[in-house]
Amino acid sequence: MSSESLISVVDDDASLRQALVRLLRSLGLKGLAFDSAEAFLASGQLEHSDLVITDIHMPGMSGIDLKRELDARGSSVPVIMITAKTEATVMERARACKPTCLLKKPFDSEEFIACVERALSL
Amino acid sequence: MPEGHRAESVDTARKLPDLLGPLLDGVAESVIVRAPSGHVLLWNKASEALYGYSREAMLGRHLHDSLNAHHPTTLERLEQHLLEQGHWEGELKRTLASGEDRRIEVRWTVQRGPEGQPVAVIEYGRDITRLSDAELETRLQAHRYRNLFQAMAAAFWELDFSEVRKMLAGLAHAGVKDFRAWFEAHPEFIDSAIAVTRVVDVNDKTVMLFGNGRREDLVGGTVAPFWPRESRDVYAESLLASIHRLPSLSRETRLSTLDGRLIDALFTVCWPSGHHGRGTVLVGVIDISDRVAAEREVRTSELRYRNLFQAMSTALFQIDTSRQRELSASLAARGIEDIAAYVDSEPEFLVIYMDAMRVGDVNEAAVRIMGAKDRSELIGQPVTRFWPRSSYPVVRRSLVASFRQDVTFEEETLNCRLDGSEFNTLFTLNASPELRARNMVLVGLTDITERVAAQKALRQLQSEFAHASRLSMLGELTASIAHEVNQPLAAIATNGAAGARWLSRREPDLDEVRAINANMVSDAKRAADIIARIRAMASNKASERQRLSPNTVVEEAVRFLHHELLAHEVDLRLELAEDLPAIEADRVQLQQIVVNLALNAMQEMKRAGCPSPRLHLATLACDDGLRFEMEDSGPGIPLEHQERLFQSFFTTKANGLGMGLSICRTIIEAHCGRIWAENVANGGARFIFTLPFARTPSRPG
Repeated sequence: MSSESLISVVDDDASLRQALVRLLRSLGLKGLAFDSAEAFLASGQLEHSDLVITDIHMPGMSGIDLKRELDARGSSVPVIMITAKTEATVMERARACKPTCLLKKPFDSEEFIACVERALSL
Repeated sequence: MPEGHRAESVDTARKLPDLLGPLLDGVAESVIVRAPSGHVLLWNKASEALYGYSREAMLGRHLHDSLNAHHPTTLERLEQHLLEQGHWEGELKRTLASGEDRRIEVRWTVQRGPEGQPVAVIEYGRDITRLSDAELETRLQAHRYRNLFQAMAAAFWELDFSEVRKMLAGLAHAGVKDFRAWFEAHPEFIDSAIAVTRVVDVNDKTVMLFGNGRREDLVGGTVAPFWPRESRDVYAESLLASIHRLPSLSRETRLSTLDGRLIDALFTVCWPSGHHGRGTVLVGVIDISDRVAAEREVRTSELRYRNLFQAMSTALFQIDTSRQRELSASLAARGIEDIAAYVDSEPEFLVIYMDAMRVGDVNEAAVRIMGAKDRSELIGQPVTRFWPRSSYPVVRRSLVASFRQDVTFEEETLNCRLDGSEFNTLFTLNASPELRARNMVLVGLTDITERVAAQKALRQLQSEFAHASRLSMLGELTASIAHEVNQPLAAIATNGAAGARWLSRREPDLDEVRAINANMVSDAKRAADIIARIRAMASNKASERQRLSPNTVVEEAVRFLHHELLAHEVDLRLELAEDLPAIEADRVQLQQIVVNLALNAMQEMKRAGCPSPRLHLATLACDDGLRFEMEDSGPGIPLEHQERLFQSFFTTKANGLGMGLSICRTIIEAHCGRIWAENVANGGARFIFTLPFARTPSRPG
């Protein structure tokens, strides 16, 4: 895990987005926050990102859509998905696009940290 | 008329000159007697002098032709009038033997035979050509008086009272002091006075009213035939008035016509100044039979009203408003026009107003409803004690209505029984012009305690149903709610972990920890707000009306839907009109409707596999008040569902209860609004409800 690592956080909920960036910082990681998948893709930060953490349910492009787009662009950046939804179908569809981790809100922070570390070590 | 009879009468008349001729020659006035045919029967000396024709020359000749008589109306008309009325007087233009024209004043009277047939016409004539202007003026006045006398709608009698005066003088001479007592003790005196009161003249109206159309049946006789015994004391009254030298006296009495019919009459006798001692009096009689009959009718209808008043099962109070009128008048005198504003500035006036209104009468139902022992406990009471303070706004509104001269006022309210206990009533007030004219208003009270209780139970039931429906709705929203609550909880947990890490560093970054802490507090508050919102929706609170901004209600409802809209990927568009007036409604129930309608729409759009689900919510002002519209891009409402849409237990959902829309309708109708659905032209359904805007707040108080 390098302090040079850049992690993009995509979530439409401002307070969770902010909390995630703060948690990453406490780990000595640099987080960049985006309120939508579209904003992230448009920022050009994909190339510099070592990890993408995204919410699944967002207005417009969903986290699943984002993962598919990254796959389509041939990006190999690891993706951690978070969702507050627990419906089986949603989880099914999320798993199908093979994220590095799939977390349910509210998630255990240790589990989250473990996921991040695992993703960055890939 | 048989020829023979007529000939005989004329013969009789022809003999007149022999008898009367010499006598009439001594009279200075021209006297001419003519047959009904107009031929001269008698011509006295004065006539010879006036017209210049000798008696011999005129006898048997036609009077009008010979003298070339002229009158503004035709002579035929005059003759016709004369035969009908038996009398005519006026002015004619005639030509003398010398060829000179003269103005002659004539008085004609018809003489009739035993069968009533005209026998002759007697004429008295005077040359008025040379009368001085002053004399003419006087005559004109007299003429006017006569015209007036004749034209009056009242029957006028000129009576000769001189014999009666003598009788009264005799009594005074005999030492009678108290005439009233004496008259009472001697009714026969009044009878004999009546029998000697002679009729000098009457007008046409009198002839019509009392006679058979013939003046001569009345003139010259006494008033006895017209004065029934029952009216004797009115005659005595007028004698007393005369003795006490009153200028006039008016009494209602009954008089008799010649054929014995009794008429109700307003009898007025007057002794014009200067006539005292002259013995003639003028009596006016107005036929008030119609009025008396009308009054009798009114009395009957009053009796009917009284019977009805007592028989009604509604409690009725007849309220005496005479003092209230004085109050109104005094307010008007002080220039107070806006009574509503005045009552608001002087709240004590309401009590003064109620104190001024007293119970005039009540019926049996009123005795029962007020818990009185009998009517006397209520009669005379000011209405104040029947009004609890909480009902004063109703009194205020009825007062304002009364000042507006409204005929009726009705409102449901609370009133007090005699023992002070309160009960629900329907208060109705009737102040028709007829009642107002009698200084009273009619108040009806209906005990609606049971109805109010039933309504309350119904409202309770409706509220329970609405609650059940809300719970079921919340059940459908469970996933959304869980998601919504999870957001702040996730943020709190994440912040907590970050905070712990910062604190466990060798040199804790306290600024960062403080910032994290602040965020945790705000997220905890956010979670609490969501819980509170859900709890309000889940609560079973009694319906509570408050002034609300329509847009705020819609915006709050949308917050409930936020995650559901996301989950269904629905594009929501809000179009809320600015500056809408407030509505008076139950916040939770209205939110329930918006959420319910939106959930239905989303489910229908999902079921139909709608590719780009859209929901459009709008508020706007319309004639009925607020108009809320929700339009979706779903398949629309199938025709066969449209009628049953708002009925209970109608559902298209596999596990739906079918109460949602029915409850929506119940809620909207309880708020005096309307809800309906229609299909949008290019697909989709539109649900609309209207609600009246809140009344602009009245002045405080």
